[in-house]
Amino acid sequence: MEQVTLEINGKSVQAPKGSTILQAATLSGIKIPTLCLWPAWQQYAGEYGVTKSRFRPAMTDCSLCGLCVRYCAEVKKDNALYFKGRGIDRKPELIDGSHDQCGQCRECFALCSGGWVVASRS
Amino acid sequence: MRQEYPLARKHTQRAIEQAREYGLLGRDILGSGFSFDVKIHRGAGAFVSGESTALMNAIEGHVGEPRPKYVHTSEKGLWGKPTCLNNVETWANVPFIVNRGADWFRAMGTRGSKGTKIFSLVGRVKNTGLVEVPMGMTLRDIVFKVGGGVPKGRRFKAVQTGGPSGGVLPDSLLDLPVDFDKLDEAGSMMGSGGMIVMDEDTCMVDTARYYVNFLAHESCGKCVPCREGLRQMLRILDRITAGEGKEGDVELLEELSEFMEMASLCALGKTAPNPVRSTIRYFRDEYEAHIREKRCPAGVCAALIAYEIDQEKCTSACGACVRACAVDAIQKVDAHTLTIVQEKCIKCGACYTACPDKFRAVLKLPAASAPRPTPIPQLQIEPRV
Repeated sequence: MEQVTLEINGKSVQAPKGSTILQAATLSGIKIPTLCLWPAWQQYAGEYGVTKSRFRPAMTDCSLCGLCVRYCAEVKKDNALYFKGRGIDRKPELIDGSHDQCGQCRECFALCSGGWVVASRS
Repeated sequence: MRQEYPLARKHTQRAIEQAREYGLLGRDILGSGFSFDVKIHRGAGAFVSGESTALMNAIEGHVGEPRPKYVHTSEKGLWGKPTCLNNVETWANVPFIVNRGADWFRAMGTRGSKGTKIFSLVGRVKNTGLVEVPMGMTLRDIVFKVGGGVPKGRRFKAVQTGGPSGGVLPDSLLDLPVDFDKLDEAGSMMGSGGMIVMDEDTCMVDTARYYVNFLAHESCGKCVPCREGLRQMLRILDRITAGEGKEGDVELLEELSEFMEMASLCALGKTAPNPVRSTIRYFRDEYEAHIREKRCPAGVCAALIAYEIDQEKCTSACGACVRACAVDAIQKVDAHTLTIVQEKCIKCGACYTACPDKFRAVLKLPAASAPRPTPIPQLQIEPRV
């Protein structure tokens, strides 16, 4: 595969053409914090010295990262999920009447860092 | 145009129809070969849809959420095409500049802000409504000369400019010449051109809480700094106004403000801390009174005030307050004595307003000094013999 040369943090690195900057960095052993690609971001926060919050934690594990919504819309093209409400009321929801399309692939389950996306009996 | 403004839509629609009838809109205008048309797009109505990129998303049929702005609208805007996006007021200036020339327009205003500005002057001011003044007029002239000052002999306290994400400016800044730069420097902004005059009966912490609550629900919620910053700000302000503020709250609000200004995706999040920052900057003592003394100096925050009847002033027990009270918290002890049951009182202030001026017997007190529980004298009932 064709290689490209790029410079990250003053270091010259090589990566296959078409890879993302993150992939190129990871390949060369350069760590870039990536919250949305990290399965246990709370542990990650600890690594960076954030162990205690000064704020009252939210009552949900959902960090509203939106990976489930985007995966459903952009990768599966099912559009079964959306963000309901705005501002502090924002939350991912199933679009009314989309229960038929959804619940089948379950591919968003594994994407959810908080393990918040689960099957409901209804 | 927002769905909630049916009258404005009707007027604009009529104006477009008339312009078309005169041949001033459409194909080949007045035989010039130039074609131009105007179309109204109705928005479902969200504060954030006024943000330029959210506006374009909404017109394209997407959710009205802002998008990152590393590509300029003038290069790639609506439908990915070069777009000239401007405020309606800016467009409204154009015909005058075309007809009378740029020099005429530039003769009005300040170094950085030319021409005139329309303000929506409301609140505790005698003359309310839309006012058009030259840029650079002082706040004092706008509020007192154009607006006629504060009614009912109350004292001017502050003027809030720029809409919900603007800031408050105190009386020490009344001689500020109003233009874009001066308002920004003072910690507020021109924003929507709104001006709300506030008198001494306005609590500045409650004012900040009110605007932050609005913005927390009107933020789109897409980016973390704005959504979570506003969520935490609202919790802190809710606590302070409920008399549960603690040392360090003001500093935490300041830190959150800085972070939101730096990291938010669009202008909504970047300017959302303005109500908090400006009230802390000019009225820090009010925050401290709420936090340290559990006292609301303006007597607004319900948790920090109590109403009581001054028995010496209440000479007739007319009962105006009893009728005004929605929760039956005012009881008749005997024919000449009324008392407020603190446990029932929701601190709405209806009794305070209802008490006739000749008595002024309802007192507004700091909550700590109210008698709790209210001693209700037992009626002496003569045993029947």
